Formats: sequence, structure tokens, C-alpha cells
Amino acid sequence: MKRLLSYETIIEGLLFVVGDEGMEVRALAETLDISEAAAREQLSKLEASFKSSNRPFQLMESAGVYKLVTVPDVSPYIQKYVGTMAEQALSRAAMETLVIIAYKQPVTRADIEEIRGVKVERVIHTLLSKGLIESAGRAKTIGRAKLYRTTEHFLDHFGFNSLEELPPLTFEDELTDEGDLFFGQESPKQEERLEKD
Amino acid sequence: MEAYNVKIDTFEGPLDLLLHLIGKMEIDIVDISVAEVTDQYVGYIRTMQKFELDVASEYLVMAATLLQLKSKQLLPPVQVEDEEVPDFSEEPTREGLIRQLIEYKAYKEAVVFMREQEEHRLELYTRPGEDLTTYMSEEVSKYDGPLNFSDLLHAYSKMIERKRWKERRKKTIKREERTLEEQMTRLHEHVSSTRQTSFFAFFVERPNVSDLVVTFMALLELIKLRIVETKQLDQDIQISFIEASKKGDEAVAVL
Repeated sequence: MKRLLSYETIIEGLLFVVGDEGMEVRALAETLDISEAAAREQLSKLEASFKSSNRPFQLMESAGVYKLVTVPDVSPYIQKYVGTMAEQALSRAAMETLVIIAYKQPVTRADIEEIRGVKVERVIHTLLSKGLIESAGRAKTIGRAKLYRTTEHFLDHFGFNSLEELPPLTFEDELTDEGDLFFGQESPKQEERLEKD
Repeated sequence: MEAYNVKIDTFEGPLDLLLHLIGKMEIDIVDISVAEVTDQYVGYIRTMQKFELDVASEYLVMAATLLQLKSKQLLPPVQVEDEEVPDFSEEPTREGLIRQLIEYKAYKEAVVFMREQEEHRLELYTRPGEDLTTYMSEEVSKYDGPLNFSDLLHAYSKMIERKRWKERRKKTIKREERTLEEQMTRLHEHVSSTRQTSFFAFFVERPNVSDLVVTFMALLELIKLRIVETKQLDQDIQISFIEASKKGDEAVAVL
């Protein structure tokens, strides 16, 4: 293949074709026969040129996958074209449950119910069927309860690249000494509970 | 009692309601008085019951917990000998309640952030990827990793989405092309000319769903009017139709 186009333009073409499936940097690099670092550089060049040339696209990175999306300013026109939009946002119950899973994963149903103070069985089912959460094996504790964690689709739904982008929880923490007692010891305990199915 | 702005549906559970009540009292969670919070909470639940609203059991469990807490504070502690009493480590305490409220509130605030995040994301549109399988060579390198339920689900929804995308965005609703009466006449003619035909043969050339439905209704109607008779040849769909003797013509005339 003789290269007549710039890498940046080829990347745009590739991302257009793959649509919402997007492409990982590694795949882009392999396709273009350049290093991953070079591919990354081309991606940021493309991003910059979208901006400077006032085009309706931007790049989105989610779980390491790049995809081409429209800029928010186009959104009102898309909505006008489509007419009434189906509600895609999550219900409050689903959202609360999902947020708890996101922060505490892997987590059991009982853990979530303790925090929310309500039953969450049906909500969990909804979240599973929407592909936002998945099973993460079973807890080592008595009863071997199922554990849940968020999926890559979860990241995409909220436009995160990784879970690290979740902002830290803020506790109304005037109970300073006790606060630490309750919330400071999470990580080691969680680790040992992880077990594959 | 408070003004009757009772709306249980707006709360996501007893903790949510408690936070709402504490917010209205304008006090910090850590400063709550169990007695006061309990009175407010129980009052609210009572009002809801008065309005015959369904109160989910979770709300009642919390009411019981609060009442237990309150009574424990009012009664002097009883000294019991250790060996006789099992260890009720699950027994509610004020600190436990406060901890629960603080934790729940932290997640509630995270929900606000996530909601914004979700809204922003919903403003970004993409499109289903092009189906490139037709261009792919026969040999597709196998995926070795584990596959689970969500992978299958993902693949399925992708496929549906793609299919939908290929259909036209705007649809024009066409006038029904064949009326039931027309189709009945046509079917009747078909059966009388061939004398016998199979269920399957009827439907093979039906182009769309509405046509299928009309044809099927026409068939049922003809059976009802005893213009055609059905005979099932085997357990499958090999049902065949025979024109019922002379009665048929009269029936068609009735239409």
C-alpha cells in the first residue's frame, strides 16, 4: 500500500468505519505499521485538528478504546431530527445501585442493600441485562454470595476511560476518628474476597 | 404534624427519607438526636399510612430500629451476667445509624456527579460499526480468552442495533394494501382452483408482516365460515385446505 494520506487522515477513516466499536491504540499502530507512541501522537493531532477546523467530531477514549463521536453542540439538532428521544438515562434506583457497585467492587448484593437500606435484587437484574455490571465470582465468606463489578460498557455509558476517573467519595466526616475506622480499611479486605467462579 | 406533602415515591428508601428529614431539621448528621429523628420519621410513616399509601416493609423496619434505639436511650442500662446473654453485635446503635447515613449520603452525592457525567455522554453520538465480515477472509483468528454471558449479550445487542441502523430512519405508514375481504376472495379462488393446497404454500410469498396477518385472518375467517376445511397431515405445518362442498359460494355471497 502506497501511503498518500497522512496517518491522521487514515486514522479518521478507520475510526469512521469501526464506529462505536472503536479501536485500541495497539490496533491502530499495527494497522498503520507505526509505534504505539506514534499512533498516540497522531490521535492527539487528529483531536487538535478536529477542534481547530470546527468539525462536528471529537475523539472519545473509553477503556483504552478510541472512537469517533459527535461534539455535544450537534446534539440538539440530532434530537430535533429524531423527534422524541427514548429515555436512555438510568433510573434513580439503578443509578444508586450502580454507583455503589462502581465504588465498592467487587461487592455482594447484601453489601449494597446494607448501604441503600432497600432490596436491590431487581435493580441488579436490570443492570446486568443492560450490560453495565457483570458477575465477578463469589465471595469467600459464608454463603459464598455472588460478587458484582462494573463492565467496560459502564465506562462507556458515563464516558470514563478508567475507574480511576471516579472522583473520591466525600464523607460528611466530623466523626473523624470513627470515620477512619469505618472507611479506611477497605482495600485489603476486598482483595482477599476476590475469587474466580 | 408536618404539612401533608407526603410523597414516598420520591424517596429511594428509609435512609433517603431520613436524610430528607434531617436536612429539613437543618442539623448535621453527626448531631442528630435519636429521639427527635425517630419522632419525625415515625410521624411521617404514620401520615403515609393515614393516606393509605403503601409503605414498603423497609420503611417499617427502619421505624422499628429507630424506636428500639430511642427506647434504649430512655431506659437505664440493665446489667445482665455475660454468660446468659448471647452477643447481639447486630444491635443498632446511634453511631451505627450515623455511619450508615454518612455513607449513604456520600453515595447519593456521587450519584449527582454520575448523573451529570451520564448526561454529557448522552450528548455524544456515534454509530454502529460497519459490518466488515463480508470482506474478511475465511480464516478468522480464534479468540482464545474466556467468553461469558455479558459478551454474548453484547454481541446480540450490537447485532440488533446494526440491523436497526440499516432500516430506514423515517417510516411511512402505507395504507393497507389488501383488505381482509379481498384476501378472502383471493384465497377462496386459490383453494377452489387448486382444490387442495398446503398451509405453507399460502404464506411463502407474503412480502411483509401485515400481509401475512391479513392472509392468516382471511384463512381463519374462511374456516369459520366453513368455506375451507383443514386437514392436518402430520405434526408439522403440513396442514392442507380443501374447499368445502357447495356451501362455500353462499358464504362468499354473504360477504
